[in-house]
Amino acid sequence: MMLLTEQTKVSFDLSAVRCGDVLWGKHRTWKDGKAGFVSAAAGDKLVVQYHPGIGNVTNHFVVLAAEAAAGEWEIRWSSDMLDVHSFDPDAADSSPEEGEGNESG
Amino acid sequence: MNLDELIYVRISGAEELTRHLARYSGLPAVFSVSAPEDNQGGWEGQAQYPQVVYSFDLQADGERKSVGILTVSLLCRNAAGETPEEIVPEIKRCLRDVILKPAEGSPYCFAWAGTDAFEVEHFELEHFELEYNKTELLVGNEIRFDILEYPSQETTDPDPIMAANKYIKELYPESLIMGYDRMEEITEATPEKPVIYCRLISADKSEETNTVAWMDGRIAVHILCPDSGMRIKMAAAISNSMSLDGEIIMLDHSPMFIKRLQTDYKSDYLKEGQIFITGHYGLLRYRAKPHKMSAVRADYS
Repeated sequence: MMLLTEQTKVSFDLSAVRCGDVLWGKHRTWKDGKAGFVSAAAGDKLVVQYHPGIGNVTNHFVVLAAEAAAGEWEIRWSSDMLDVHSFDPDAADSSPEEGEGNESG
Repeated sequence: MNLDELIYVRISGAEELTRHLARYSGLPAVFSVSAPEDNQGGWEGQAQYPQVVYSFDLQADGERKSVGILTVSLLCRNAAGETPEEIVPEIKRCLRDVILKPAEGSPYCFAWAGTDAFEVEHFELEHFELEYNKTELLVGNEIRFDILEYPSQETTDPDPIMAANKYIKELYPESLIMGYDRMEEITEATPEKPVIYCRLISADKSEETNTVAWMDGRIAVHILCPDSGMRIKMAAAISNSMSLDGEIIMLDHSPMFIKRLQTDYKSDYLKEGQIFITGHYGLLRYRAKPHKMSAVRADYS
């Protein structure tokens, strides 16, 4: 009997998304997405601080890498608002959106 | 689905229960509010009993008291083989430690409140003759459940409840934390996957410094699990871990110090919770509070 097994584990690329980035996320169960700032970034999850629309209130939502890999999240994020990246759950790829970014104004 | 539909799905999906019940239109005889008349075609000339009829009523009430009553009536034919004594435990089991989350609104749980037996004379309507000419005795049980609501306890940053949720999730990744994990419409708490609910009882201002206003938040942790031994072990493990750590790191990375911790193993896990934490956390002013002159007195004598 084998004692050791190899497992593949998905995780966020922390060179692509960092604390302080602006992130919009929409879980498949939500009617609308929420936009906020990444307040904690780890391989397995991103914690995003957002404004829920109530004065003086801030809340968080958590994006799990496993859920993103399972196609449960639509995500767009940017560190400078020039290049806006999007995560396409079907392609499981992130790239700057067409028509956005690369315009230094 | 709304709560009524979820209750139906839960009861009619409990195989251990529905195998005792009659069938109506090919489905278990489970009805909301009232059962169809005896002469309805759905019975297909078959036995109409045992059948289950449920109804519920929600009411405005204080948190942690009942927000409503669910009444499940079981009707059996006295002469037939199935007796209420065999079926009632299955009804209680199917609604025990299950959390229903309607599309709109908070999750709900049911706490058994009591069972009353009753007998009723049933007048059977003869086909094609609109007169009652047969009677039989029906025996039944009315099982009452308190409906408990588990509303979202998320407040604002720094949020002591989200911090407690995150702490417990890291301790027990396999558990489902209400308000932190995504819930399905029907969630059953099991020993393999207990459900945990953190509730903010109160928050008091404790002290004030130049840059921080310190708050004392009192939190109750409910561990929902059908296995009492498991509940006690988990409660002890969580409280021991919190005691040793002495603090919980909140989502804004500030500490919430454990000022007081009490574990009550005998308290009602649905209504009261087992672990009571007083967390001491700070609200940053981000800029120094200017000094205020107060209690100024002038003496011109």
